Amino acid sequence: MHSPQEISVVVDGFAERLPAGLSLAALILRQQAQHKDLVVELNGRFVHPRDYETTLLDQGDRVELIHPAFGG
Amino acid sequence: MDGRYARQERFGPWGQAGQERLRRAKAVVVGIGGLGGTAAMLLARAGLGGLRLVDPDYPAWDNLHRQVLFNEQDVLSERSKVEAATTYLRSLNRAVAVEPRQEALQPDNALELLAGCDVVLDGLDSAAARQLLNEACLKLGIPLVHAGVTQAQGQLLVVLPGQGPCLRCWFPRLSDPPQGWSAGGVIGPAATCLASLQATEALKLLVGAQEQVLRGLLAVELWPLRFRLLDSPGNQAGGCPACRGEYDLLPVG
Ligand SMILES: [Zn+2]
Repeated sequence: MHSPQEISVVVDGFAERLPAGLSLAALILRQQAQHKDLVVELNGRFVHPRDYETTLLDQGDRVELIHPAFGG
Repeated sequence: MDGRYARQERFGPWGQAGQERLRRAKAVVVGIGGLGGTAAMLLARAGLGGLRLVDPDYPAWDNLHRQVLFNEQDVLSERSKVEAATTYLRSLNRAVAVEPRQEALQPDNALELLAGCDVVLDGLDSAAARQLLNEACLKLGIPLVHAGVTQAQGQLLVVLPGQGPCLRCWFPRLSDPPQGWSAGGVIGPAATCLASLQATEALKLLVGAQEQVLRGLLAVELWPLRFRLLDSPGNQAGGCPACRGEYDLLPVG
């Protein structure tokens, strides 16, 4: 049996073991971070929401998920 | 009055020259609750020349834990927020020309409410109103210091029209979360912390230290404490319709 490959990704500063080939969209679901105005930074670069589905995570990636607050 | 600003003038990057620039400058604070009220107070104490206050509301009991401009008497007297704030800010610094405008920011008054000001401070309480404010600032070419807060967290960013990403570049789907997400909770120190950072960015612009202004988005969490700076090279000016002059909310023309 060939075990599914895992990668190590740092999410919000914490190391996570994730399935290889996971998309940003799937990560957001997995982290329960859904928010219409979520801000995502991958390895120091802003990722536009239209690219969440097509952006696949790699070993060693660093992801920041920011939930904006719109109260005053 | 002598020496009133001596201590901040002794801060090198500010100096007497910065103080003089500040005395001739005018800011508009849109929404004078937890964020805008605290920021307005700091600007008035610092000796800003003119301060326009925009808010349609009245002080309420559940404002007082975080909104430093108002006291119990203001709630009981049913004076508007801008009226109570004007009295208080004039008592802090009579040299500041305070202009109260008891109005909500709307598509048909947004440009007029912001016109003639050197900087706009965002003290609003919804994403939709912020999208309108962002468009109006882009159209007028006025720097916008955005902050938002909920629970014990918030974010700060400065929009310099034509020189970097705007609010909508950062939040392309700028919209309010479904009801119940935040349940309207917020702690006082989170609001005053974000407001203090917001006032600082406005003051940098007003004393002529634009090169020191925040680039990127600062995400602030107080509980537990964590500051994250997204200094994101992937997010450039012109990345959204509003930056290209396509305004969804402002009237055409
Ligand atoms: Zn933009």
